[in-house]
Amino acid sequence: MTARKLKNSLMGFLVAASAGLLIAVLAVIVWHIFISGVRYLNWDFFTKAPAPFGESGGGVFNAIVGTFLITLAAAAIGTPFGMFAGIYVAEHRGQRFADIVRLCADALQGIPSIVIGIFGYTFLVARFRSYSALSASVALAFMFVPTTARVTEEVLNLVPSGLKEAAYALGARRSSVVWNVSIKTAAAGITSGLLTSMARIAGETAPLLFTAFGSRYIEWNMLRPMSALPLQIYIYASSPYPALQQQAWSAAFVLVLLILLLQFGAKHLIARVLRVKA
Amino acid sequence: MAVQPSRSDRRELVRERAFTAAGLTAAVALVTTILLFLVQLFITSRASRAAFGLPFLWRSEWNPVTEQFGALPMIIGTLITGFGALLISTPFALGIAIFLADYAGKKAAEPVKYLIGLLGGLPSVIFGLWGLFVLVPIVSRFEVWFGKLVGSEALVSSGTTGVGLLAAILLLAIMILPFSASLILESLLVVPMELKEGALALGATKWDTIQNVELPYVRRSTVGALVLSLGRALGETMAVTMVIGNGMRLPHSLFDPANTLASAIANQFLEATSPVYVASLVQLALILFVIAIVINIAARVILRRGVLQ
Amino acid sequence: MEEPVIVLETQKINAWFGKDQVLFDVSAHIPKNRVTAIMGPSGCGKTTFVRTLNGLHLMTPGTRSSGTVLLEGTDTSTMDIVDVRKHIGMVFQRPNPFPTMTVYENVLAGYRLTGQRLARERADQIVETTLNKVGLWSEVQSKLFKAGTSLSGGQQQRLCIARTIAMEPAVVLFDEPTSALDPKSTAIIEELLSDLKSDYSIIFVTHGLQQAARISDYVAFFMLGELVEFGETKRVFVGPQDKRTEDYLSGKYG
Repeated sequence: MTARKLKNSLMGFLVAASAGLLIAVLAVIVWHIFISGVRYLNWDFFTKAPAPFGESGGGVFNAIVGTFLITLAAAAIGTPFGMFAGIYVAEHRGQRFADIVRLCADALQGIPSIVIGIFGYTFLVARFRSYSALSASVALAFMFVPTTARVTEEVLNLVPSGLKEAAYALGARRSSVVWNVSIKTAAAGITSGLLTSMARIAGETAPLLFTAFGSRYIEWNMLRPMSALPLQIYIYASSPYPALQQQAWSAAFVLVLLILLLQFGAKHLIARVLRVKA
Repeated sequence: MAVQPSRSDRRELVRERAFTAAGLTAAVALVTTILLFLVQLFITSRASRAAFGLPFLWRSEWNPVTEQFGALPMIIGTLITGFGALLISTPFALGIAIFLADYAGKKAAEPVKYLIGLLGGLPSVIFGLWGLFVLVPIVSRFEVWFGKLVGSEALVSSGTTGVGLLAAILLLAIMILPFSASLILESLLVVPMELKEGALALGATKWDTIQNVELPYVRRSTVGALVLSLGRALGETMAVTMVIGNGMRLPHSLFDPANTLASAIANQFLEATSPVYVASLVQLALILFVIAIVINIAARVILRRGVLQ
Repeated sequence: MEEPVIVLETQKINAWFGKDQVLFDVSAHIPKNRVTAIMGPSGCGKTTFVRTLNGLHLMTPGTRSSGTVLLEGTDTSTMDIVDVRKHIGMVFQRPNPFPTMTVYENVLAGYRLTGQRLARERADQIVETTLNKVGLWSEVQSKLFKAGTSLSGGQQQRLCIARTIAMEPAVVLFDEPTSALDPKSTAIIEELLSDLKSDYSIIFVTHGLQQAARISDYVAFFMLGELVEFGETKRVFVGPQDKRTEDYLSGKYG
């Protein structure tokens, strides 16, 4: 009897300890990012481009601009494909081709980011013989589409069939029902999914290594190589200069803030959806 | 009941056709993308297959200088880091999932779930950053201590820099922990209350119930979750790249610098100049692509055949 | 004996769900500007029948139907189903106003969903007229621009009726329109059904004998997928011609 009770208490302790460990690890990592990152944060950091070689100072404005442009472009490219694919699968539920589409979306989602980067290089950069932010956005779009399609499909399936029937009964065509009733009703959920996907691709580095390539200058032209926060972090962290390594931490801090912001936006919208449903 | 198509009717028909076309286009595009990936990778790696053929998969020499390339060191590195990370993280993932499913009250569970999400949402490169400047020095100190403890010359000489397989395994374990924990948690939450209550009513302790009722119930989906986590680990790039040391040779110990398929590409692609070098790296990408697809299929098979779930 | 004008005629309607046949050779003549009740025990095919009239039956996967539906003389199978639905409207058992639209927009939903643009004046006029017809105008005048779902259950159902008649259909189908409502709202809607017949032809499905007796001019009795008896309500209830009808009326089937 007591042996079992002892085991019970022991396992209970171990289980709680696992959770504690997780929190501890997370705390340590976040702590480091905060402590090391905050040190270098100043106005220059946010507004200036990297300083010329050897000089101190400078910032990551080029990377901030890059992340902004590349992520938005990727979302702009990926959203229509993702949404319409999700709509197709939801509307043709049960049909074989729709199952195949879903399968392919899953497969695409599982492809390692470095492979996406290599594909981006061979398909776009090598072909057009230049690194460009646009090729990075296309590569990221490949990662954006499957998650968007899945979210769209799931949320559309939650729309009550009574609403759709009422719309059909009024003489609406399928496209009108899907767009004006299903999508509109599911809008908050879809947008929330889009923001979550954006948060994910904003932090990706590997697809950018051989496509956007990075740049020391503030670049607004999508057809030229461009920097981005994750890329800059990698380059600085891999460099032998402590000053740049320091900037890597600060850039990491900024990146985490950006991702938290996007995730917060996504959650807020989810909260609104739940309130509407309740 | 004469029905002449009015202007709005015709507009609606056009809209309907366009909408249907858009849906079909997107669907077809998704399917062709996978094929496109395969074809493009295959074509670009041609030179490597021409030079080395199938033996590329088990050749252990990777030498950019002599232009002799073989994938074995990378494949070994990938497998060791992947399975190693899985081995280390699984007990903790189980522990956390069980904690959240059975021990934590609603108030404690929510923040912990949020933290799991937070950890899981951190970009790979940030893990790499932390790994490089915080974990690697710790591992290095450990390696020196361990080398002294065991008194092994070989160990100390080859790798005490901290970068290498060990650091990569530890870092990967931390990275896949949130992912596997949340998947296992999801399946634990599906276990019917009646089953748990039935066991408790027979006099079982909480842990008895977990061990004998819940865990068997979720066995299949847990295995599926672990397969998916393995897939995640095998494809992980940036964090591993930054701590694994870009070793070109077959690693002999956990302390050695090494490479995974992904890290080799990330570390070397931009410096690769000769066509065979580039093609070989793309060949590594192709191998990685195939591994990812295989794992995806394996996970599906496991998860679909779940009788209880 | 009045000779009613027929607005809708069905000829040998059969319907299947997969291999199960649920309607057998249903031939009916629905009179114009009257209220026709469809009654019968659960599972007798009343709802299925009504859903074959506006094509909703075939939208469920695995369904089939045969037979002809003549709307004011025209075979509906020669028309685009989208057009059929502009002439045959439907109100459902559970009120389902569109949650992303205001009361105002809900009334005009039919136009919006079929891509018909309305001038502001005409739109306002349709909204006011229709809401008046269903007796909602005074109640919701101040809430026109609130969400359609912010109204009470009974009001929501009347809003759905308004939305349907805003399209000026010839026939309006009601599938157990008061099942999900409280007694007070039920009474209001029943009265409304009678009022509406001056402009539209009403067909409503009911699972309650008393409701059929109360408000309908004509009644169709269905059982096991067959149209057993059809006639003026008074006549059918007082002197049913079929034994099955008699049994149903005396409560044998429930």
